[in-house]
Amino acid sequence: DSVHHRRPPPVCFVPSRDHIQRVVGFLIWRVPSSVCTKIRLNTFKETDKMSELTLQFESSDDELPEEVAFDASKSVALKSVKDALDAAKREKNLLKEKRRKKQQLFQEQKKRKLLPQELLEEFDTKPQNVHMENMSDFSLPVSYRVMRIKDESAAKTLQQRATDFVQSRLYGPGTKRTTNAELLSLKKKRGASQGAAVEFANKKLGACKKARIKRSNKRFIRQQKLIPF
Amino acid sequence: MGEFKVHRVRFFDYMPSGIRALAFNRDIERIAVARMDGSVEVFHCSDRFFQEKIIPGREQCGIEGLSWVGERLFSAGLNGGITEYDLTNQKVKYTIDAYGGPIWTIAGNQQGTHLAVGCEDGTVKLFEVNEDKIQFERNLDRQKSRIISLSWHPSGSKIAAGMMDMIQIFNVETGHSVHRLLADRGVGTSRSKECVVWSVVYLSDGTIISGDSVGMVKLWDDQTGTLIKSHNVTKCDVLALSVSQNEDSLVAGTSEGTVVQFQFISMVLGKDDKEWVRTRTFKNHTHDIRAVAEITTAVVSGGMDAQLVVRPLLDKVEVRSAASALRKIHFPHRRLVSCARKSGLMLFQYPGHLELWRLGESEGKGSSLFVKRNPEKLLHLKVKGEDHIRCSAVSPCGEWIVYSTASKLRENTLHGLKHFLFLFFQISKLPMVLSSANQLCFSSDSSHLFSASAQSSVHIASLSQSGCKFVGTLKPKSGSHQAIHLLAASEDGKWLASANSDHEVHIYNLQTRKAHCTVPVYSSAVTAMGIHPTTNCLFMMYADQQMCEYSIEQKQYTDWSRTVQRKGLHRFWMERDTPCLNVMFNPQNPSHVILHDTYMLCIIDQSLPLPDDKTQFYNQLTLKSLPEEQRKSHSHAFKVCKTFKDILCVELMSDQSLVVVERPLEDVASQLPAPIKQKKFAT
Repeated sequence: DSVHHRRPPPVCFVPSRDHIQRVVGFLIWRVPSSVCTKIRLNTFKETDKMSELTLQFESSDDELPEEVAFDASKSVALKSVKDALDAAKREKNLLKEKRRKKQQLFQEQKKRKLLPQELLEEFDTKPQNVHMENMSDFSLPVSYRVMRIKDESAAKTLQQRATDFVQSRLYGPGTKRTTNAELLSLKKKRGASQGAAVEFANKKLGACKKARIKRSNKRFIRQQKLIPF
Repeated sequence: MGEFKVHRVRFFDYMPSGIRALAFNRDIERIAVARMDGSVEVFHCSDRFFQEKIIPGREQCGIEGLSWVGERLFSAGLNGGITEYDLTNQKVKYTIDAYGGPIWTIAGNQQGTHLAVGCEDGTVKLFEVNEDKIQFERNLDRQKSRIISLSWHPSGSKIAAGMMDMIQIFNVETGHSVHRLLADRGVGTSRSKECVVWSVVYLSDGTIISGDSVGMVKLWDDQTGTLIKSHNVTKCDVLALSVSQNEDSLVAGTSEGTVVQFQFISMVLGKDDKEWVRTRTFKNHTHDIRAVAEITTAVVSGGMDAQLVVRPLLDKVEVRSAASALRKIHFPHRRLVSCARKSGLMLFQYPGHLELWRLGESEGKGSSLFVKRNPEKLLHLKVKGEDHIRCSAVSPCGEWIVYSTASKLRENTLHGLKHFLFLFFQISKLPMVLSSANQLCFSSDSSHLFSASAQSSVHIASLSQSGCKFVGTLKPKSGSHQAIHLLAASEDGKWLASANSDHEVHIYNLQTRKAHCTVPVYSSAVTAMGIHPTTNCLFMMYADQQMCEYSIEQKQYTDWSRTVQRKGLHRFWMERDTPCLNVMFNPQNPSHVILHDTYMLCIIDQSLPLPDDKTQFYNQLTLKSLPEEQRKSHSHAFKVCKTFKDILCVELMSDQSLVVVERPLEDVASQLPAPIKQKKFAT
């Protein structure tokens, strides 16, 4: 009897008797895209379906392969699809749980960070209680000035920003700069009285760099145990 | 001549500040130099570029541009204010805020009526120059990017403004932008960075010349608003441009340290069609050149290597003389070191602090002595406030230190210095009259302090255990009100000499506290002077390397001085390009005068004959090789020693040892900002 399928039927590829040792059987499934699952087919593990099939094969080598009932295979196929869908749903729920737990943890951490609610409420009301009644007795020493923090910092950052602009255009990335030691060493190299580079001739130059190199050398030797104790 | 034990001092870590802006005033022949630390210096171009005036800077100044309006000097900086300077008293007159954010450029028009400043917020602000102040007039149309450079058209009707990626031409009357000239960015990686037009120049025929960060010098036409010609000068930035007064020569300064000259000449001799042709290249700097000035006979340039280089243009020079040689000015023409002669202490003046050191001790014989005790730093005195130190002095006994900033004078006593285990520090309250000093000097017995203040007058204060008391003021009989830059007191405490920027030298009698006499005015400025301990003659050195000796008691030049004037000085002496900064006398040899400049130390023996042009001037080595008897006949008055280089100060201590403070230029060069990498052949 014809069964109406909305989806193309699964195709079962039955191997010939020559390849019986290696049970290379695979089932081609066309699953809907909304179900993102990994359908793992264990080719070498003994699953129910496969054992059924192999049993059937092992029963008689010479006979024609047994006809597998359509209904059976259909139910098997549907069951596996349902299983896959269930697995997908379970995984989604699991992730959801995890996310919820994390969110809760963050909320608690945030609550811990903030001051207790009572203190905040107290601060809110405080400024209104402070009166400027003691302005008259409050006098600054002669050398002090009153300035708003807003004004001061705004002006300074403008000047600082302008200086930074010039610095970045002249000395920033994109410019080819070298060191003064290099310049002096080159002059010495091509000069009348040729001598060693300034870092070697002048003890003070690059002293901290040399000290750093010396320390890292010592560390290396100690690490590699190059000098026996 | 004598043998001296010499202390070679190299622990004065003086760092000159880089030059940021130059402004030349044709009428009074002065050039103003603005440095990165905010100090402004005025050099006299026809007096061997002597540094006439120094106005100290302050912290966080960020000066960006200078402009002369007539005889007044204005500057503008990243702190958003325009400052006018009082050049008579060498200080800041006032600062007004332009309210446009950091100011990048300032330019005055040729008529001397208005000042234009270019601000960070994209506006060009016009200020009217009034008699006593400047007043904001109006803004030109506000633009979207910052205004980096400005130039007025000589007629005063248009302004060219260099901005990011473009140049805008404004009509001054309407305030609207007439043309927009787009400068293109570089190729390759520099396409992503905006092109900064660092400098513009507006010529009277309508040509605009611009130097930008791509390294191009471009010529634009202001009628059509198009590019005429573009010259690729360098791979890095062209930072400064300057055009001569008759608009036939332009110089461009680059980041690599080269100055390129363009001249408006015709390519074919005889033909009339002129164009801007690149002619000369000068490579006198190692670091970025931030400012150039074309002063017709020379090109002056300055930059991050902190030296002012004057390169005379030999086709404009009539006579080849010492004035037409390449000149590099490294150190200031003022003394930064003062010594306490009797106690072996030295005071170093830095911009923001003072250091007091005690000299070390040595033993042994020979050319290089073994150091028994190292020199030690006794005091590090930081200045309160943001102003830099203008002048400082330590008393000969070593117990008083005084320094002055632009706004105040402070004095400190150091007790117990003889024990130098504890320094008990007491700040003396100074009388209100002594507000700020241009120059400071102690009397030789450390009992009085002389402070040069406004109107060319000198205040006297007496010093004692209980503190400092104002005693009187010395005023000149007549004459100018220019600030005094040199003071010299006599050993016996009777006379005081003062020299001011108008080349006037006044001598005062300290017992009567009145003016005694005035030395005849000479055309050149006094760079150093000293009063002889026994004869009380004032010995003066001038910026043009002339010297003279004036007898105070007889109120006339001495015979030796007249002989020198009559005979003239040797050519090699006159060709020296750095001024003498100190005059000292040797108590053991009354006929000796010790002088020094940046490259030599000289002892003048007034008892020996003067050299004429044919004699060998630097004859010390020759004399050494001669036998004893012949030396006397061959020697002349000038004994020059060139062992020490880059000398900042030479002093003779009371124990007959010489102190030579050297600042090797190589040490200065190693602490400058990073230079551009240049590929040289075979390196």
